Amino acid sequence: MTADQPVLSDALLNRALRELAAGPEADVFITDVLRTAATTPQEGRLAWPMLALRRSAVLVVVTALLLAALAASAFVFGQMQTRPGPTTAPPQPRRGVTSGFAPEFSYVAPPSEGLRELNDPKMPWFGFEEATGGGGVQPRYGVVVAALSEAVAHECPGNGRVAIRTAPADLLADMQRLGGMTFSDPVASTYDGRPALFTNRVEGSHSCPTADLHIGGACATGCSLVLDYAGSSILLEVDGKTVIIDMWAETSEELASWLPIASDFVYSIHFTSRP
Amino acid sequence: MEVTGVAAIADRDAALIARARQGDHDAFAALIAPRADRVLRTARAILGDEAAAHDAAQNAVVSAWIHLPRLRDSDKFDGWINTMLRNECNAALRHRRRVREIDLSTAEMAGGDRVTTPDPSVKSLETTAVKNAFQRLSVNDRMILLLHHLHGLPLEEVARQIGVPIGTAKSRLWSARRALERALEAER
Repeated sequence: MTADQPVLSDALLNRALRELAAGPEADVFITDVLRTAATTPQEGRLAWPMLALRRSAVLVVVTALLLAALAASAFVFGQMQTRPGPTTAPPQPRRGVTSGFAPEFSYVAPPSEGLRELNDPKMPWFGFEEATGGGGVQPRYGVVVAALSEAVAHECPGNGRVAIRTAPADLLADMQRLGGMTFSDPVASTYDGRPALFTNRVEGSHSCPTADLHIGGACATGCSLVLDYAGSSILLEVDGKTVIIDMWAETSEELASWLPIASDFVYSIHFTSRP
Repeated sequence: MEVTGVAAIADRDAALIARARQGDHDAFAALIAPRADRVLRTARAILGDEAAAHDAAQNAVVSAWIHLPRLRDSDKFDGWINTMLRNECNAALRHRRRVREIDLSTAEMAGGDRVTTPDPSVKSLETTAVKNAFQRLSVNDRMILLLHHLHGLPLEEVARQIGVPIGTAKSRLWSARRALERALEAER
């Protein structure tokens, strides 16, 4: 019956896989990857002897650290129990100054419920996004301040990478002309006392499926901003660096709900250096 | 003769890996050059998108460069790159779901005319059905099928490439093939 019929022959499978894998030669890829590797430091080799420790020794150390942490937590919790309870005053806005992110700026953080702060000093950005609890669940909205040390887009049409200009107006023009992205006409105004361009985009409106901007930085394998969401962006130059401030959400409807909160954060920003 | 050739390649790779671990870019380039095409084609077949494949493959290879000082056994280099590539492809697929749902049955139309007449060839339709079914598989299943059926690696080499015993590789290959057949039945 049906079970006896060959569902899939080797020849058919091989042909389908060849078609899926077909594409340009790997020359461009090899050039890209070696150029990136040439400017990327290897992990320090000092950690190597640590890996050679016996597993049992590592387990003992980890267990000891865990016990110490538990003891410390119990102590702190005990101290808290003996203090008078806090008053029910509303939470005060949290002011902060970025550390590790250049150009440095001060800001007022949005209410922390449901948000995760993006403040890893290794990354060329700072901001907030929906806290999803991890497990591979991706945030649906966020706001990011990113500083460019380079700008590379994917060609559209085509798939290679192409270096584009970084000055705000040039960047937008090149992302549209070379990267196939679609933005509203930029509006020139000021932001924190500096000339700035303001633009918007609608989710899924770009010509090619991959609409992202590689911005350089110290990410292990390259940092990029995904721009295929709905978004509202401000581009300006601070200390000679192009900065993109992007308020984004997966859909325009979600962006409309998120913008009031994101805008409060964005308009609380003051760069430390003055124009 | 063949054994001697394989042994010579393994020795050469071991020497290149030792140099690359010390930060020698030329040695790393010599290691990657013969593997780049396979890595890129694998990513392309898994992701079905040239730009995403380029990024995933590049991230995997650059990660290999960064973490190379950690690699203890040079014989595991290929398996190690495959693991990184698999992780990158998984991340890219998660990312794609976040960005936009892509209808895989129409993905190949991207960039071309949307209004096309169906290919009358049954062979072509069958190939398209297999390609669509393939995109329903887990990345692990896609990877092992590609190593064996696209790159033509014998089972022993597939096992080495994914870092498992040969019996496990055989079992995984069979499972992946069954998963593909079930997905194909659903396609039809």
